[in-house]
Amino acid sequence: MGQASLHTDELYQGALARSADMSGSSGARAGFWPRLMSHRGGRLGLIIVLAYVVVAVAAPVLAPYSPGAVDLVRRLVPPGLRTGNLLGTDQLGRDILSRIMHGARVSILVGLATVCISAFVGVGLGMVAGYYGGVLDRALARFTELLLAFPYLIFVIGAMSVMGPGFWNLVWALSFKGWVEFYRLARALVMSEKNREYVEAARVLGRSDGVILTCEILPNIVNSMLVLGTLRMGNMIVMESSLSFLGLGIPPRMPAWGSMINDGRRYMLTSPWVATFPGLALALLVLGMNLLGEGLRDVLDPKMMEG
Amino acid sequence: MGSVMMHEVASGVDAGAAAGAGMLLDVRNLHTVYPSARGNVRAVRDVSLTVAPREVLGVVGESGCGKSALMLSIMRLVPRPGRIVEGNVRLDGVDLLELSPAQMRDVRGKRIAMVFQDPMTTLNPAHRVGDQIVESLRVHGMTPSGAGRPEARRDCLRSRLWQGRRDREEERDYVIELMRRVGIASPEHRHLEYPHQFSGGMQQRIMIAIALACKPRLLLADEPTTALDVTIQAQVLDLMEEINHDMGTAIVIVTHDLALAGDFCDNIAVMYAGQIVECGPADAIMEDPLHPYTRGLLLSMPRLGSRQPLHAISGEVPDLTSVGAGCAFAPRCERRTSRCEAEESPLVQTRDGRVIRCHAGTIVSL
Amino acid sequence: MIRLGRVQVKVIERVVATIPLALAVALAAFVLMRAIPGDPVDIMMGEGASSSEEEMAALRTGLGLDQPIHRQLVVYLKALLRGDLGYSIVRSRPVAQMIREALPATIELAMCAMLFALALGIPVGVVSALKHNTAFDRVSTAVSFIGVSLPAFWLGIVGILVFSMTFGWLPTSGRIAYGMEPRHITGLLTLDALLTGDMTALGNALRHLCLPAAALGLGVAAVVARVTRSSMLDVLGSDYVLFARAKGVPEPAVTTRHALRNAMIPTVTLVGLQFGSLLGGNMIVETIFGWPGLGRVVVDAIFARDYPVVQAAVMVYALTFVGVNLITDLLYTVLDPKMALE
Repeated sequence: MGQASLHTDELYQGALARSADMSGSSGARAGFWPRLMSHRGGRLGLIIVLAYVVVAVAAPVLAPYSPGAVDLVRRLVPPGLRTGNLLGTDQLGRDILSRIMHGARVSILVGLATVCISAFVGVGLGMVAGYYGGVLDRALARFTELLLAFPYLIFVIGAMSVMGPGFWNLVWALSFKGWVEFYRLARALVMSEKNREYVEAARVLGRSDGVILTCEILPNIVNSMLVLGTLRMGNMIVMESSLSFLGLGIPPRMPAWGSMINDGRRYMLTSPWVATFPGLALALLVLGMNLLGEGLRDVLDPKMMEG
Repeated sequence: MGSVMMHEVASGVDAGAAAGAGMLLDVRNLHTVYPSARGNVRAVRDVSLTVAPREVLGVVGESGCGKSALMLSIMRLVPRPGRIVEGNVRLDGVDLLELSPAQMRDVRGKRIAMVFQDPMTTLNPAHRVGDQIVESLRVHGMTPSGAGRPEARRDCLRSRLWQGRRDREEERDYVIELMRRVGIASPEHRHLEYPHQFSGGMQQRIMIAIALACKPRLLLADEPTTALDVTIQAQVLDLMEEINHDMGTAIVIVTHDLALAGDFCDNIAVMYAGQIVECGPADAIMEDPLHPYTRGLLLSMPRLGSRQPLHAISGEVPDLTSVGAGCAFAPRCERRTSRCEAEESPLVQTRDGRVIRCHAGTIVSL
Repeated sequence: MIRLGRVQVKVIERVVATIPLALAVALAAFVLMRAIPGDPVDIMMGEGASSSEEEMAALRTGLGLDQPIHRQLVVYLKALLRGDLGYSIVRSRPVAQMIREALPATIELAMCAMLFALALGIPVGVVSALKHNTAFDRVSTAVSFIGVSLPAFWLGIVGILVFSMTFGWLPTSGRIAYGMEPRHITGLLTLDALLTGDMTALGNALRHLCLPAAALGLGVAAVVARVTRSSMLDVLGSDYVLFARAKGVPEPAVTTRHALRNAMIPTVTLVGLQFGSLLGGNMIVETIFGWPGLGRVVVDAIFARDYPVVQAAVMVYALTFVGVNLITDLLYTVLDPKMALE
């Protein structure tokens, strides 16, 4: 009947897989940076995270006040340009902006230290367990199963109740369970890589197991670890804040977002800025980390599944 | 037997309604596009074909030539954002593209059924195979006793409740009978099993059973044997042949295997770059292909006892977003002329009733 | 018949397999208690304790700390089998009793948070997938991404500020207004109110539940929405959904009978895992909302150095998590027939 353009009904969405074979040649593979920068979420995440890192590193220079400077005359000053406290002051007259900037140092350091320790231990054990299997693998399987039986936050709270608040105590408590995810992913990846031809070839050439693991297999799984590390980092930072909020994480003398939010709770009705701004700072950093992590995953490791 | 009739693009108007008379399926000047980031993919370009009752038609071509898109267009199941832009699909004279969604749904499964390539992914892993067979009946409100006779029972809730149990027993017997019909051993137990408990060949038989549940007049089979072992392939083809013979179901089988189509089909349509380039009786095409592409396909088939090296068609399948004015096959064609690159040949009917779309082939055959 | 038997065997196997894990959890809790550096009694009494030697010795005997470690373990395990979780130093009450009182509140909150998360997350995820690449999909994807990043405790505080303090719509703390508690049947106030037909109590309890459950559940809802959307998109693009359409199945039935059931499998796995973060988040949300649950008990006990309570509560949390994972595993078996036979 002719020219009328006919829309099909009951269309199904999602996979254009059936038409994918019609789309012909694939585009040239661009480098890592161009691809990350052309990934909308990844770019935004990178900008947010970099901004936080710059602020955290330069906090002593950038912050208008010392984070601990108490000024009881200027308690609970509302945010504003005129007052000299852009984001207001807390119940002790401390400048909230300065404390948020210094708090960023604490949060990022905890996140970084925890992820580094977890990744180091987890990847190491995971690679060995995945490569050799055997008794060690079985023992670790039981042990990780036990660790996974505890909800993360409960585990860390239990550990902190024994160790007491403190920066390094918190890092160790978080890492003590944090390595399990790196372990599981590294182990699974090594199990699938170790039978590939390039590993066989290295073995035939007489390379030692240590050389094969570090020089042949590790470079092939490092991307996945980087993605996991970035995604976990946001989690660790939320967990740090949660514990500091309860008074079990970073000791009160250090400025931490979680304890700032806890301080602000009591003044929520009269001075909501005390708790609101540190919360926003936290949420934005975590958002940035998650965006960056997903961006990295899309760019580096399209195979890796969510969750 | 079935005769294939093609319609010349230029004379599409006067080819008229008469040409499709008596045909079960009559596709005319069908165009389907998939918009993509790089432009519109013209997956089906001006395809016309007919299928007579009881006919077996093979649609042959390389992957990506638009065979599957053609089947999905006939079913009006082109995945979004793809769409049919132009043409007609007539089933028994009724244009399917004019039907309402509900009317079209009634056609699917009941009058045209479809079988897909990979039974492993096509059967729903969460449902028992028996239930999946019964579902075809139920959605069309049919009772097993007369799968050909549509029942209005679904409109009457009371009678449905009343006869619920008897219906279910009847349905179960029908499912078992159908499974036996497609060659599944001990169906009285196996209809309660899940797809993953069957082998690939058995899964394909189940898919065929689902397709046959409503006794459709036309079966579209999209590479039904590609995912199967060679020995199983032959069994499934035998089954389809039997069905064609015993039940009178017309079959359109899509395949990339020209030899299979030559053995199995009455007629063959060869597709290239979204178009039909040659179409005619299977014997004629297998013996004397006219289009250089068909010839290339035939020469690239291994033959028993032949010591000649296999022929390969050079070049690649063209990008369907950028088909120009000339013949799509010209860049790969050994016999191309300047004319081939300048303009596309119309579909031309040859003396022996075949249709081809080629300047060179036309000259040879006339 | 045979098939049914196999599923039952699978279920029993799975249940039996959790027993060693539960035992290990109990052991880990025991070790946690003994891992306190220095003399636990010193720490419990506080630095610079003014208590006398006799008092400390009495406490040590009371906790069984004067016995060799293997004796302690045997005593501990035997007590555990009797349901005896020790004795709170600060409250001078059996820990089991404290936990029994607090647990229903925590379960009620966690269940409501999970229900909230599923009731919000699944429909949003499904509609997002059905309306792929529309404005609704884009907005809900962005919102759920932000939702994943928002910490529960901050959400709770902002919720109190907005809904309780500014608008005065919802109460700020507690489970129910004083004096309105329904007769104790299960300990879950909403359920008890329903069972006794006390509608005012039900309404009041629900109003108290709104904010904490939402604060706790929002993050989970965001995760559920994301996973449901992506698995639904996968399934909608699958061959079997296309095949169902080719059979002539009407679209609503395609979505529910063919797509949703398969798309729910990843979501069910997720629910089990997310329950862990719900239990953890519970502790914090309970603190914010003055919710008299297990989390409050633990936090209070930590600050009071009431270690037997901390030990027992951490164990109960872990065992609850193990139990929930067992249940999701079994549910998974029902949803995915392949699992039943592997």
